[in-house]
Amino acid sequence: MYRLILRRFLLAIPTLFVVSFLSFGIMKAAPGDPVRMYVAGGMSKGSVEDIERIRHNLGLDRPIYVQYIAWLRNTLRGDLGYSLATRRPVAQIIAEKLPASISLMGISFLLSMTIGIGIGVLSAAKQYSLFDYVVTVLAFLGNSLPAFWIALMLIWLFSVRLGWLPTGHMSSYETTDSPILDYAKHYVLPVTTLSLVSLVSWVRYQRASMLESLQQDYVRTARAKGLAERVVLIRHAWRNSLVPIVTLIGFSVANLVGGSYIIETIFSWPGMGQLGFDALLKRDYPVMMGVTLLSAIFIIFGNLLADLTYILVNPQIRES
Amino acid sequence: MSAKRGYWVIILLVVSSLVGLLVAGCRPTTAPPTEVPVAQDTRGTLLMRGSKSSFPQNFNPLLYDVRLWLYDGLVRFDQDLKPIPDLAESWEISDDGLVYTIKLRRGVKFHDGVEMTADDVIYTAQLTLDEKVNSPYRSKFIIGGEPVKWEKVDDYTVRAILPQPSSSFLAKLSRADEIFFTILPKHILEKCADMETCDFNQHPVGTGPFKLVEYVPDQRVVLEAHDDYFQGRPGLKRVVRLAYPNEQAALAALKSGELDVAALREAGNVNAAEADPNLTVYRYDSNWIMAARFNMANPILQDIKVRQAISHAIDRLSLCKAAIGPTTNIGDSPISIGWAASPNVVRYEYDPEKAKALLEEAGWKVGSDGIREKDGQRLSLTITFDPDYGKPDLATGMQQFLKAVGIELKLQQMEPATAEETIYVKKEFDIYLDWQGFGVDPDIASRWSTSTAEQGTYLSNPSNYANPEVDAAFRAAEIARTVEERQKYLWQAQDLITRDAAAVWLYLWQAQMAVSKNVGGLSLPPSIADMDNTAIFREPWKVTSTRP
Repeated sequence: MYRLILRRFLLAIPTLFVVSFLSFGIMKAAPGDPVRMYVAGGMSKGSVEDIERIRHNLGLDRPIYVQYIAWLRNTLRGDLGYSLATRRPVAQIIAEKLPASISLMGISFLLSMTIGIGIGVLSAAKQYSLFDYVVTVLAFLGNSLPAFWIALMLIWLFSVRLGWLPTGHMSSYETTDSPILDYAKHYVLPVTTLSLVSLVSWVRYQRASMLESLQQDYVRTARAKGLAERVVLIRHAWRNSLVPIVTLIGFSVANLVGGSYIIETIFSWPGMGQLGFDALLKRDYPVMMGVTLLSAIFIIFGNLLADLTYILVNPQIRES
Repeated sequence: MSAKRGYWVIILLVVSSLVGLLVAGCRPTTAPPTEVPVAQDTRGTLLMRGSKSSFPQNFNPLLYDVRLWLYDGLVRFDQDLKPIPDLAESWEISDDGLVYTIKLRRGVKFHDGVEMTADDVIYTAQLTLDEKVNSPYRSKFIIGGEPVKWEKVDDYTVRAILPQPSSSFLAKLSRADEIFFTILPKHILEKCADMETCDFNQHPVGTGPFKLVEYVPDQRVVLEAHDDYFQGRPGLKRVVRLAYPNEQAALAALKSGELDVAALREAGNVNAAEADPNLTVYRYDSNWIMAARFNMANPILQDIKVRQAISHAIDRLSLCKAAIGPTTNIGDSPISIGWAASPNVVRYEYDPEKAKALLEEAGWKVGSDGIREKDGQRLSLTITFDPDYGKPDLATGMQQFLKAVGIELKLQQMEPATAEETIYVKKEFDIYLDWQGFGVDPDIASRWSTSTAEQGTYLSNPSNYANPEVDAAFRAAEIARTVEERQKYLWQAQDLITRDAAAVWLYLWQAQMAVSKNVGGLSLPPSIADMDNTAIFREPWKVTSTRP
């Protein structure tokens, strides 16, 4: 078992390497030149002489593979470089944005998982009931509606129409609310949107998995023994239904990281997603690489977590 | 064993999520705003919505557009866009136009209390000219291939020696849209090994009316009065630039009194602000003009009749009012406002019949699908643009107007970086839609001269426009000794460019600033807008606010 875990862990290293190589290549292949766009002052400013000189000073005139090797060498030494747009250390910029993202993703992860599992179990336990139909239809809808649309509708309803919640940001500069209430108000809409993105998967997987385990012989046996229905559902059916759905953790983390790019941009959330999106538009290569790398680490970590959990809950793997 | 298994899963899930939450919780991103008690200071606070460029994250004006009130240039501009003294007290220009002797104000203090002298001016000039410093303004001080030479005469006098006369030189000693030549403190910057990573970039020191006291990236920038400012003690105690996610949010804050100043663009929001008795909307045009420029290398567009026909076919004013806003104004040439705007340019009025006649003359006959044809070729063109500043709406409107006279216009919308490369580097377009014009000094030759056609920057002339007479006029304007002489040649250039129908001139960038009744001391009437819309704050030290 430990060898398996170790192998998973070691596999993450070449994966990160490939991710960094591919994203660097794709990024450089995309049209657009940060020096011309803004490093040299942008519109109406830098002349050719300025642009070429600055490009040379920043080393952006070197062949792509040389730039990649230089980037890789610095990154391995723990130096993510400087943002082209702001000339601040990438590590510092990311460190400033990380808490906002992690709290948003953490709360959303927790909420979507617990609520999703809850609804999934109930829906399966009451298969073909009205509740089940409603859940199935909503899950289908939720799967088809894009997150950005949900976000915009929520803003329209709760911020523009009703004026209950702020349209974005993490906190207000001047407010009569207590700081905690102010933060809470700002969290509601982004958390709701981001949770919905993965909630639907949790519901659907949990429902399917639960239905499958309800058909198993041990459930029939448990019922035949005269155990209370609650005990049958929770202890026998639900616990066994968890084995396949723990793999969803990895999927869900990937979903959250990907979703945060869109959600944070819409809600002006001062997090990594917005940072990455801005960097993408600006072709701010060092920041993009930093954010990509960290996103990749998150996703790999999520998958690793899923694998570990899977090993822990599945005796077949654990004992081999 | 089997009972434990289930708990393991739950514990692991919960712990992993909680760890994330704790990490986040332990490190709050925002510190509570620091209240600095000032004894008997009754001056007010100004809360402004910060635009992207007022959240610079890097406050070094050599590297970044710092559109805050931290720095001053040697020169500023009056209402008519003529240079007036700022940190300079006066200047003399030698008869041959080569030597500028500049007297500096005495007693100007940096934010740290050190006096600004000729050494700081010379040092700033040296940094700007330093090849290792990534300043985009270096080439502004290379004239005719040679750098401007700077000399210190005494502590309060400097001399700039130009390799050849340059009528735009004085304007380059300012901070405007195109240039930031603001005086930096030698005693701090000379300690920096690398300008890119210097501590100064986060802790700026200038001579301006306000100094930086706090900034939270992408959220707020807090400035405090620099009481030793050379124009006098600023009328405000504090200026806070706040980020708002969008215009609606800023408008809501303005209406509820949480914000004093915000630039507005959307017509609905402007109307809402005007309807509010506590808000005033100030409006002023700029010399930035949106234009659709023709690629002169395109065989169809080489025919001046086709270009004239397109110019006449579009109801530019209605189009821009519909696409941009009801108060929008249009221009007719690359220079619209100020002393350099020519009154004699050729104006293309909306006249679809004339457009049709011109196309007939050029040999383009209406084909079976309503689109004109000549020698089996359809009159079909593509317009290239990015999605900003209402360009998609403008292009769609142009498409309708042109269809009515039998021209097919295809739209090619690209994401900004791709559009920029397609237009300015690859020059793959029939017509492109982008800003022309300038902020303050009408130094626009590079956008229209033949010799700059190969450059590939925003300043260049990607449309292959080449007219030797225009080249000559711009050259004469550049070496002109007096404003009158410069004006004459700039007018000539505009007249020629518009006679050539080289572009369809669309709307002027218009600033619309909503300002609350709290605010006083604005510079009215506002001078023309820069892209940051702050012209009503031309004299920021005079601004006051009743907000405590």
